Amino acid sequence: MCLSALLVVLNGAAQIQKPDDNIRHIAISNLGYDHNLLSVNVGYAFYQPRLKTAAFVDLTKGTALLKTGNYRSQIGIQTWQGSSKEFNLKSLLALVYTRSTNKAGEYDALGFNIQINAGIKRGKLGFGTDFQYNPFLSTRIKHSDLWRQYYYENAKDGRYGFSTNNLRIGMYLTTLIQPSLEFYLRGGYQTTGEFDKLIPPYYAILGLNKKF
Amino acid sequence: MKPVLLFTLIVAFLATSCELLDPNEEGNLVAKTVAEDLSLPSVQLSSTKLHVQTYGSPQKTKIFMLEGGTGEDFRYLLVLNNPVKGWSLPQQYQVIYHDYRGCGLSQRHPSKELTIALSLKDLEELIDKYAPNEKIILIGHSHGGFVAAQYLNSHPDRVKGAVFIEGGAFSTAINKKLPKVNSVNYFGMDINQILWVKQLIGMDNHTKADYLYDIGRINRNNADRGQNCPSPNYRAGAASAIAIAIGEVYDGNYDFTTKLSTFQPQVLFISSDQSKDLGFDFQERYQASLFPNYIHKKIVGTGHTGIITCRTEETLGYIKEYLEGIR
Repeated sequence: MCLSALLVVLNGAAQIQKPDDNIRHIAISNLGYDHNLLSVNVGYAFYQPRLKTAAFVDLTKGTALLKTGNYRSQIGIQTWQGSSKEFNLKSLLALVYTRSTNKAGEYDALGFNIQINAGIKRGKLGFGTDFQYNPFLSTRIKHSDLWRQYYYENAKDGRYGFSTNNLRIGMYLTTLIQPSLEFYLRGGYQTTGEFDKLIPPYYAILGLNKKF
Repeated sequence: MKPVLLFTLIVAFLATSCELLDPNEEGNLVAKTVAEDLSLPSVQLSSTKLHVQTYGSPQKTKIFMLEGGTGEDFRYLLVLNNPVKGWSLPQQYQVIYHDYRGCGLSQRHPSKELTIALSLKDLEELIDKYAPNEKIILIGHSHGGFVAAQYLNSHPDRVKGAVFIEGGAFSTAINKKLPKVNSVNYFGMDINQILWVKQLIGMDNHTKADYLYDIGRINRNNADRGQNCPSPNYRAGAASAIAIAIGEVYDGNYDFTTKLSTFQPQVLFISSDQSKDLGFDFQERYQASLFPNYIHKKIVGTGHTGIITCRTEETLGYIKEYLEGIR
């Protein structure tokens, strides 16, 4: 419970401020915590000014699990429809695939990610609310022999529906370090449910997005 | 809006295209408890139903085995039934194992019903059921030693003897003296395996929380606690671990030492040299010396759980010697 300060979360594909109309490409590279300490996240977004919308892909891997087959990938869109000069409204909708392998078994999960940022802009600065909802609709689980021998022999393998709901509610702060370089901080409360208390239920996200 | 339409179609496909198992259904990811599986051996107490297994003749002196945790179950302790040189505990005694409320295969409860006080009440009722008006023997490992001290401090007249195998701290004051060697390395592979899979298995009910807690246990690196042999378990009790092990023990206020100095029968401590927190030095300095008449055996080359799972025969040898001495 004493290590909440270490829970610095970096999450990719999260350009918060609406890009200028002359922008087409956004390179995403982050380092930090995203369900893992520390995670590396890389991605790319293609921006359509006419639609105020960008399509993106990204990949996240934990540095402690680099060679273990644990990773997370998203493909989706982010849109700034509804934004104005002083008001920022960003919505993100993505399909998420996550793989986990450990001594208990192998997990392949498909879900979606909804993220909404609503706030105000003051010059280069912006701040507002941060909301993220990420359920997994289908998770294939194959338990290991070790699991069956020492924990539960009759554990069922197969596809499980709605295995989890990840929820984050917090605030964001963003600034343009350069006209084409956005830095942001997101932080708040996160949970997967009533008993998710084994580690501090907080998150803090640092990010950097290069636009060109 | 085509991407949104495509997204909706994919989601609908995922949700309906194949038969999905329910992660919340007991028996899929974790074993059913006595509340769902009526074939399991159980005892109904006044406010809970416990998974209880007995071995040996009910005519003999009762030994109550108390497992670690809380959040653990008694399955890993069953090796203590093994015979050693023609002798075994079930041959000589009636040995009674139970999973604490909210743990193992015992009934699940809301967090507010998972307390140290209610655990003691359960044990009191269980002892009254199996050994009314009899003196009993307690054998507790880790948190089970904590529970044994709790009962012994409340009912010293009911206890014939006690074995503490690296028992948890008997009071808040002693708990504060625990060496800080078992802290979590948030950058280690083990904790990150657990953090990573947590995004896929939520902790919104007992079933999934217990499953995730078990994943944590199978992946946890216990190097700070020495030699570690495979430790079988029925099912974790995540809510109990959070409410008692983390809440009441580490953040609470308790003291089970007030009457220990008046307990005259001999007690046995068995500790390891490799467990850096609850090992021999800690037990000798802060816990064993609370009793006026104790013996303390050190098992060299093993650790906290290894005393049970790796060095079973040696541990049973000390228990046999002790029990024969208090007959």
